[in-house]
Amino acid sequence: MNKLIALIMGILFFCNSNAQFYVEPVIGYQRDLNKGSRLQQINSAINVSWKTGRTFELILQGQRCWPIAYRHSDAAFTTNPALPVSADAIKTISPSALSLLVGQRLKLAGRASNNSLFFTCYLGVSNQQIKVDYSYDKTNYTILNPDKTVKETGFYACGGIEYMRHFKTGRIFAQLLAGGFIHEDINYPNSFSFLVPFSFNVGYSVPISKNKHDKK
Amino acid sequence: MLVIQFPFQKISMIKNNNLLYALLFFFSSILVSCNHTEFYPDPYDTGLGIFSNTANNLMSGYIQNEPWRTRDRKTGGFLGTATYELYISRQITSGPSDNLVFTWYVNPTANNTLNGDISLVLVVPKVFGYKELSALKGQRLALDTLNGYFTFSSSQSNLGKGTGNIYFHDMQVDSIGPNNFTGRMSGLLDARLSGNLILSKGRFDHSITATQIQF
Repeated sequence: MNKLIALIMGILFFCNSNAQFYVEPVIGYQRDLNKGSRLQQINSAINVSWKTGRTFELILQGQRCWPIAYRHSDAAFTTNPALPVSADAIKTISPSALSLLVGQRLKLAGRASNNSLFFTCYLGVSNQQIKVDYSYDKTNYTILNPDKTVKETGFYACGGIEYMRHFKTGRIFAQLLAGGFIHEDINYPNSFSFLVPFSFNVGYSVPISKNKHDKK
Repeated sequence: MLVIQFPFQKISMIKNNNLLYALLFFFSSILVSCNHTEFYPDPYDTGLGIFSNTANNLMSGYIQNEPWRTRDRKTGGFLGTATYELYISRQITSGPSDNLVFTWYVNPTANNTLNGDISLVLVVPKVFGYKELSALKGQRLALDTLNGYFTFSSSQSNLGKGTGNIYFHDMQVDSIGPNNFTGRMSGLLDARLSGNLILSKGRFDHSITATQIQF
């Protein structure tokens, strides 16, 4: 699969000698779409974009999702008659991810203006870690249905809509994306699943060289 | 003639295949038993299952700091024998009270000293029934051998009464017919079994079928 993607990228890139390069720092916020989940992340990425035509761009993205710690109280119990039968166990869930993705922008509207609308999608490999920490009296109490830290690497895909505004010095864009692991699952009864992030990102395209495709 | 016969032959083959699959499924379901025990390792207590209330059909704990767990619950094999990890029975006595006995059956290991079954004996009134059993939900009992006790019995030894504590996080028993009950239970326990065996960090989580409970 990776070889196929590399091959397609290579063909598209080298067939078009007038390709325009951009470097794009991206920052955003994302939250989990799984039912009942309150997991959130700060999203940061660096894109290298090849504009191979007026309506199509290839993107190589390195992405890091930083955890926004979610604190929750679970119940812990004890058989020790000298202690209260139950106590709170403060649980902190920190979801993070590191991804290397290949994507594309396909222009949907705005060919003749400074404002463009794109369909954007990415496919690649992601490493997700959802770290769980508990704070409680571990000597005397036992947590009911404890969560545990999970870590997984797998194929990841996301897609959505992107708005882009063109300036003389570059391009600013905002995107709404939804994605997730293609087939990874957690083989443990955690209270959470791997994230299905819905993200809002903004970024700025810095042109590395200017040519005829960089009009709009 | 051949053109007419061919579809019938095909239909007949399909029917035969379906019949074959149905027979295979039937005989495999007779022969193969199902495991109804889920062992999820506790991330904080190595070797034990998690403390849960989701009918994992398991009890585990440390005996002398070594992991001890119940055998798997296996049912469904028509020709095989069903095994259960827990039985609950009421022992009628000639005294003023009866005994309610919970017995957890060991999953044997290489360590022979741990290969014993753990029983909890609660002293209950003569009028004790399934509704009173459900009333144990949320209760924590300190057993001093007068109101109840733990025992540990193996092929090598049959130890006497031990003290301990048990917390019933969940206990629900429903009547589904005359002397026929189902339910669920979960909780924690620790015990000082006689013979200097100490059970610590015990946790249990079971669905209870009519086979497992006898009043």
